[in-house]
Amino acid sequence: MNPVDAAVDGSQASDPRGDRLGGGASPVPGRRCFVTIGATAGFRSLVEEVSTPAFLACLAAHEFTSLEVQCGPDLAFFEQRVASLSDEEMCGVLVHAFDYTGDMHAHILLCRGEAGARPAGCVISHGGTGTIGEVLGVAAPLIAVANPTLMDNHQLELVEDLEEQNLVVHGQIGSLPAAIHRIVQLIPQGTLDDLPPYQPPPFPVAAADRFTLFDWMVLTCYPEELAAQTRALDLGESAAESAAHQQQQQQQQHLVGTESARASSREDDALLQLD
Amino acid sequence: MEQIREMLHEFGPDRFATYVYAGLGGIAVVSVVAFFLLSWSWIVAIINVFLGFVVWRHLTLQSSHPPLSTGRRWISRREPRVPNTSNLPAVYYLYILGSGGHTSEMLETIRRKFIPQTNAHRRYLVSHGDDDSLRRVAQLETRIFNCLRPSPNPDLTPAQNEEIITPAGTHDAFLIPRARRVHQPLLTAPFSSLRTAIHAINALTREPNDRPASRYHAHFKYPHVIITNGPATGFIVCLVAHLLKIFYLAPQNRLKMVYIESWARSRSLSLTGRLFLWTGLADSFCVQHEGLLKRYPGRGLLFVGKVAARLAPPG
Repeated sequence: MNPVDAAVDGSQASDPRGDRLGGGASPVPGRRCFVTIGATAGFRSLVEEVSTPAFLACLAAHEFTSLEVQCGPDLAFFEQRVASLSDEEMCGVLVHAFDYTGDMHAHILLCRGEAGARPAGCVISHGGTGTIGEVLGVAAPLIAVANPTLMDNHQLELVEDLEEQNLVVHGQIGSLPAAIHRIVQLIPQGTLDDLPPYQPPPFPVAAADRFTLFDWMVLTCYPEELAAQTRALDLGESAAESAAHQQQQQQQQHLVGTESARASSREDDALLQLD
Repeated sequence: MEQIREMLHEFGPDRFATYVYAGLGGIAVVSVVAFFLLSWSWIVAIINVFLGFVVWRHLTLQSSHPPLSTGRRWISRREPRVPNTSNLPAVYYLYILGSGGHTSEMLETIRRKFIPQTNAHRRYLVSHGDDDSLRRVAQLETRIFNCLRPSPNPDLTPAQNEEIITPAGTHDAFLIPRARRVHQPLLTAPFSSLRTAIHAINALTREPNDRPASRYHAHFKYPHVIITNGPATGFIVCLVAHLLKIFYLAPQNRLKMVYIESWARSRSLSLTGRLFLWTGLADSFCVQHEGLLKRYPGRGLLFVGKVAARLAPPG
């Protein structure tokens, strides 16, 4: 039996997180490629591209040993295409397909390279913010492909911007092998193969990192409380400012110690009082 | 009949929404009668006065929005002790979840803003049939509950222990029909939007079951802040909230609106974003890309950084 059929059958029979997810039997697993088209809209051209022999050959050439595809509505289409490939065309890549999953995070995490556990794999995703944010959040290599069939092709903006910041590789339908080639070159640069074990972000977040706009908006419903806290904000900041100022002055005096430096600091003090 | 009874049950004990509907129906009947009885000059005069009143209220409400400079100070604050909302009688947020990416972004924003407070209530508005969002809200709430679970008080019975409100606060979820289903023709969209609006009144005015007026007075009657990030439903809910304030059906110092433009929009605003910009509904219009400020100068856009995307530190 074709290994593809076995994988596909397995996915249909059991839950989407088949036993294959727990890591291969070999001690050093190969790279893993996870393709996701998102939960909202279909993306047939991407599903089609990743089931071509050229793409599978490219994966095999870059030490990828397994390919997982979340196909959405095109699962049957994908299975049919993969079933028509011969063993040679598969190049020994293990293919696993499912339509949707409740736990995208687990699939993405398996593409994160961790020292001693597994090499970095690669996620190929549509250009949706949810998926991109999640993949970048776990520092897995990402190829983002904008879905051109969506409303005014809005995914392209984000993908292009992120590529400029070197956070993702912008994949084009028709030239995904080139993108795979690029991402494999980028992996050692970011040392993405040897990351420490994944730590979920802290929760609740530290007070200094909190996003507090909503709290301020609640305070606008209680004007007296808002006034009191705005005063506290002013006082706290001016205290911090003057502390920083004093430190600066001391440094200046220490370094220069001339009359002119002292005069300017007096001027600054006067300005502060005026404020 | 059964349906009506069910709907009345949904409105809760105080029946606020029922009165709003009855009032709207009464106004409709009166205006039809007036249309036949009054002369044209009277009708035109009444309509003018009405429109004038609406515009005046709209401008009054807009002038109460916090100025942009204040918003910038809030965002760039360096004083960690403020804002402190833990002493307020109530802190009540209404989060509007779209679907897919909208939900992911909203949940990440909630994670970034969460602080343990017993006086907090979170209400989630989810579209009908969006089970994925419901499930993820449940995941988030479980996580909040688990990391703040207090040890049970041995002096109280288990039932009493259940009733104690923990620092996790309380939460509930409301289902609301979609404003426009995918592929629904634009012709019928106004009708389904109206249905959404009718349900929105209920979601905006129904007191949480965990916060009954008998114990908390009217502090939890209306949400303090409505937070939305782009689904069409969010605009309709905010429009309804604004109308409630225009006609004095809700107090002016409640139902503040925060619109956060999606992280996906780095160069132009989305349709919902442009609607919020044109109508000036939002008390605070936030964007996550600095480039948008240059594209829409002087329009009150507040840059808040990437609050809806979790990016790993580089390297």
